[in-house]
Amino acid sequence: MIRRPRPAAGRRVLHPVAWWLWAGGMAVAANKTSNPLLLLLIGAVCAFVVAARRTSAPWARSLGFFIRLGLVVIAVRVVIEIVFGQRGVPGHIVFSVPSVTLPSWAQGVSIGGPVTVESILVAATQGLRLAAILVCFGAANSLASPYRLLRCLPAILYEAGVAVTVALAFAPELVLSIAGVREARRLRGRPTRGLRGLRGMAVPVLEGSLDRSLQLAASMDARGYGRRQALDPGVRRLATAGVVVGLLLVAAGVYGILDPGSIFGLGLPVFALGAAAGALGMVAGGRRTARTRYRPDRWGWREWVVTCSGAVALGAVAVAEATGVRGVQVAFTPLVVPSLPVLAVASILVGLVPAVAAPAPSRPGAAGPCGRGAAGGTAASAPAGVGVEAPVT
Amino acid sequence: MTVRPRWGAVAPAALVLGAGAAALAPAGPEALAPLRAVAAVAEVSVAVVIDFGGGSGAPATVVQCVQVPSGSTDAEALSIAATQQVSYAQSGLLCQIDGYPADGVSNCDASSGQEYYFWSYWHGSGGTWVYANDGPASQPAAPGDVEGWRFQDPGPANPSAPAPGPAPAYASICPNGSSATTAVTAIPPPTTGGAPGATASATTAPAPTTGGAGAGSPPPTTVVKPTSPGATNTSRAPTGTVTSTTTGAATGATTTSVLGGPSGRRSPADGAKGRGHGAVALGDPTADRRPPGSGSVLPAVVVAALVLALVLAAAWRWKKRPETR
Amino acid sequence: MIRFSDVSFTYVDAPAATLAHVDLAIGDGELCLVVGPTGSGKSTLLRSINGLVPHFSGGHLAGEVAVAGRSTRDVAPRELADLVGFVGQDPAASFVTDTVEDELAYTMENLGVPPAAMRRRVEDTLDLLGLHELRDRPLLALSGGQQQRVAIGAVLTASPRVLVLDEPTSALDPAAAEEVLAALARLVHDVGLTVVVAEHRLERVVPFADSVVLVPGGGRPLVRGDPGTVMASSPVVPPIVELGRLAGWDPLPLSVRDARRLAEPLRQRLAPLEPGAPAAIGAPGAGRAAPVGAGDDVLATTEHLGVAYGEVTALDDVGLSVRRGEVVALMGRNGSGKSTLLGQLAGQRAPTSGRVRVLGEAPAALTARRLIAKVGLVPQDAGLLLYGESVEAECETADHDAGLPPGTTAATLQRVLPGMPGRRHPRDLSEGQRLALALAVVLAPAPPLLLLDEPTRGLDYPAKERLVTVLGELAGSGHAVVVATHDVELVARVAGRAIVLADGEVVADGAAREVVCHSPVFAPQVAKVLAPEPWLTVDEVRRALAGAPA
Repeated sequence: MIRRPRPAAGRRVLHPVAWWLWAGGMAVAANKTSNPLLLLLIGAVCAFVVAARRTSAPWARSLGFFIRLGLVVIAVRVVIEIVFGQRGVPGHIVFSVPSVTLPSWAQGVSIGGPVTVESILVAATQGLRLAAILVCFGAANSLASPYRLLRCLPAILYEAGVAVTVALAFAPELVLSIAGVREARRLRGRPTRGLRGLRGMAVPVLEGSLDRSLQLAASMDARGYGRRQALDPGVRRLATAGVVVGLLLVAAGVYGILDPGSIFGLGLPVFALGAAAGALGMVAGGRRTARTRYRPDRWGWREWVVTCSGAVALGAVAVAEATGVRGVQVAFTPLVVPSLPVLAVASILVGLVPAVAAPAPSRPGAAGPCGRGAAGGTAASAPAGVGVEAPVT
Repeated sequence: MTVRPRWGAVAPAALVLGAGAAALAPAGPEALAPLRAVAAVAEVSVAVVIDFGGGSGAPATVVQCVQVPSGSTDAEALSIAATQQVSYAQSGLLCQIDGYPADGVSNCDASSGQEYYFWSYWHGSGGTWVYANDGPASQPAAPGDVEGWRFQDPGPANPSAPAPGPAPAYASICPNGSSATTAVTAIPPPTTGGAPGATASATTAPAPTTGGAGAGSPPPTTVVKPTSPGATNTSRAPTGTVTSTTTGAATGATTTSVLGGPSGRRSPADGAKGRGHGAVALGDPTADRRPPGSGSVLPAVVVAALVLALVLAAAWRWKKRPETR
Repeated sequence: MIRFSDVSFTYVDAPAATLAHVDLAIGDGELCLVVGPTGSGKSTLLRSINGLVPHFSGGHLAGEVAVAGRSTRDVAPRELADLVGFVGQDPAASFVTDTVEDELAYTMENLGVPPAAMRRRVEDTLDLLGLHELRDRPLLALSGGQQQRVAIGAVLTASPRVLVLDEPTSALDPAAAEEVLAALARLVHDVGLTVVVAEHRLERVVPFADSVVLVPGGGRPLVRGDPGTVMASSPVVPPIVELGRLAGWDPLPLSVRDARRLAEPLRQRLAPLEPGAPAAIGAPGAGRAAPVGAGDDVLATTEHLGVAYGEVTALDDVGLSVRRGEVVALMGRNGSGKSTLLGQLAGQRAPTSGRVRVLGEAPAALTARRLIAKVGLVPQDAGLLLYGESVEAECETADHDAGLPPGTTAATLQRVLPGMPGRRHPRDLSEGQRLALALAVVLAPAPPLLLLDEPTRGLDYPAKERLVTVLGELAGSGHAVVVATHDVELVARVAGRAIVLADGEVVADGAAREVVCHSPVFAPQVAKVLAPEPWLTVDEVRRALAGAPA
């Protein structure tokens, strides 16, 4: 048998945890500021990094969904403000909503009244903050493969990770099968919309999903999923106790951190103790599953650079906010153009570093075996005519 | 076929509007004042006491009687009384009055150990201060109201949350307490280049702030906001009226009206005049007052341009990549 | 290697045993083909090698199945993963990860193989199955044949000694099926695996098989032997064997090559005869008899039809027309646009460019009710059309939806497949029964244009025969039928016209005989054996021989 020469490995993908740490840093930085320009800058930075470094995997397009969701959030927040907003802050009135006087026990709520430009701006900025966090989350979602992320889970959470992985794989299939069922219903002359349409669509979709899940379960079982090593019962009990006690301590420690008036020492030390106990329990329990890992993602200098860029953005904005630098928290009454702290802007721009530091995604093959188009061409991309065509149109 | 006549009608109207806008532009929004003939409006006198807490760098206490149109709230009374402006945080918390504390906006919930810095709100009731249970915006302004504000500066010397210094005596602060209805006729626009005092002097030539009441009571201090000619101080909170309790109606008072907001009136500043007991002028009244925090627009424009550039670059990069769905 | 000792198996709540007293021995390094009609217990037999039956499926197993000495009684399938590898019909349903390399490594991760050994085995498997260019590809972007090879590789990395495949090529086009079977043959010859394969389309696998097991079903005993012996008396046979029986060849040839060596006298006998003599209306092949351009109605046309999904072009400048009484076969590899073209004719979405007209109207603009009176489409997964609780309920709903008098659909169903149990849930029906029910539902409003997308997947020979009969009757009664299929034997039996699509373009369009006969990929077995004579099916040969002077 002739061995063909193997091409260079060429597969260098950034560790998914690095992407999540970077996005987490940007998200927490967004949470700390209320300056709409800074928030827009954070969102633009995340969008640029995604555009520069995303792959052609199916989840890489999820950023669009999160951006749309963010716009919906902003719109909803503004509408809530118009209807229910607090009227305590004087400002430039734009229009008035007919107001409803509520009894005195509902004094904190106001419905209607004059709507000022300032209050709309405040509502839009608060919505924008949430939208920026959503964009950061969407960026992490688009850049980091969820499968590889789940492989990084500790061994004791492996089964939960597999359940999530399978759910991730099924979700696009579910969407396809819903589309297929809808088309099939048109072939039967039935309505595809409304409640009447729902039952006719739900049954085939659910039955198809059940069939597929049974097939998947059978094949996973046949491939050795769920092999267990017998653990010493003492070790097992210790592991469970460690995890439970650790979680309780973590909860107490978080309470202590958030409440400044609590007992001395309830804060950080208890939190650290709980985290350590939980980690120990997880490691001890993880020896139950005798799994090995194939080519785990390496953590190299690129991962450090990406993580640090997120940390720099977060750190600078957090420090600016804590020291009261003007422009991090802005007020819209009086209505002025918000000032911009140079350091915060520069540190957010540091968040662009992953656009060059992360490895470029490998270019998909020119003409796959299916011919026209990029790798896989018409494969799996065009929605199948009717039904889920396995695997390509 | 029908387009031509319609465009023909629009064009002259556009020209007229454009010419009008061009004519009005140099004068600023004050020029719109003559267009607003305010009918007779019932007004209410409210006493406002602002105690800055006496910390280092704190301005002196302000005690004033302000007149607001009936139907407005106590929040508007405060914004009239404040010389610069009142800043609220995005959550609605009041952070800064007259620019004090300086970092009020960026550090609105500043704390020191277990104690917080904050502006406290009091009602005067029966000669004593009572801590308010609600915000000023939910209180309609009523005759006889005494509003107190005190900045709480937690420190070892201060007991927790003391009330404002001056006593809540409505009668002495607002001697002319009943609502004074003042008709306002069309106001001539401020002459450009004229000294601010030019039109002002007509009103305040007589002893401006001494009330007709007995001298025993501390006269109300009038600290008024100057109008710099042509300055579009549109960022100010809506102005109200501060009338010195002169017997005659204030005539020829200039009005600086801002779009929206309750309209009130305030008599113009008068340099060295109008000093009462315990009043300290906040800097040079004729100086061009800038509200704190409004730097030049340039950084904002730069950042906005940066955001736009990033978004466009991202969109371009996104399109470049071939898709395999 | 594999030994069944008096194995009987009964599913829970089943009236009769699926396997009864099976005694079977499969030797080391054999490629064993398991054949039999649908529902006869082939899948059960295969899954019991692995332990999925009874541990995963439930039921009562008597007797013992031993693989390399290890019994499946007490050991769960996951413990046998290093010994037996199981590959199902739908590879996409068994993928757990997202790239090829990770999928290959998944089994080894479960087994706890050390990382260095994992790396080595993955590289070996990539070479063995010819997948090394695809190693980083996402699984969803692969073609059907590639996916099936990846599924085989995924179980192969655990270095099992037995490989069990349940209908591996049913979803694949002929070229992809050849790839997979060649890979299997290489595994048997080079690596020495024992392979057990179940297939409906015997013609693909019989040439490679070392032994054949016939599962007749109904509790009758299995028949095991070498292929020639079993095929001589089996009720399910590929066309070559049927031809050999007809011509009396001995020994019975199993591959095209063997058959050609024996076929010379038959070719000479057939040389003066004409295939495709007109047959009676309603008989199989009637569709083929309708001459093109006989002045009949044109039911459907497309002009310069183009369909694009985003940047991907599914159809490009397709022009064709379908007349009454025609049976048209749409052929082409997976991804060439067959389903998209059928979807356009059924009005599922508007075309990106060009026009589609069915009975003079654009189908995409029609309401659903008017659409089903003009065109009916049976999709690839017929179960998508069915959502009733029972066959009877399904028929009633179909009558109601189409505004037909009650009982119409049931009558159609009776015509298509008599003896369908009325109370059974559609999901519990066999593939052939489900297809028949879907066909009845679609045919009830009697649409002039009928479209079928891959109807023969999972059908055994008797069901295919019934389908061929039904299609012939429909064509004879004035319907037009368009069938998208990989099954060249079906095309040979029923189609009068063939259209070949590749990359969304029409590559060939003409009489089925001309298009199909001389194509190396699409030629049926009879054509390959009797080339250059243009014969498509054994029936034609039989009829010609019967009609010719002795």
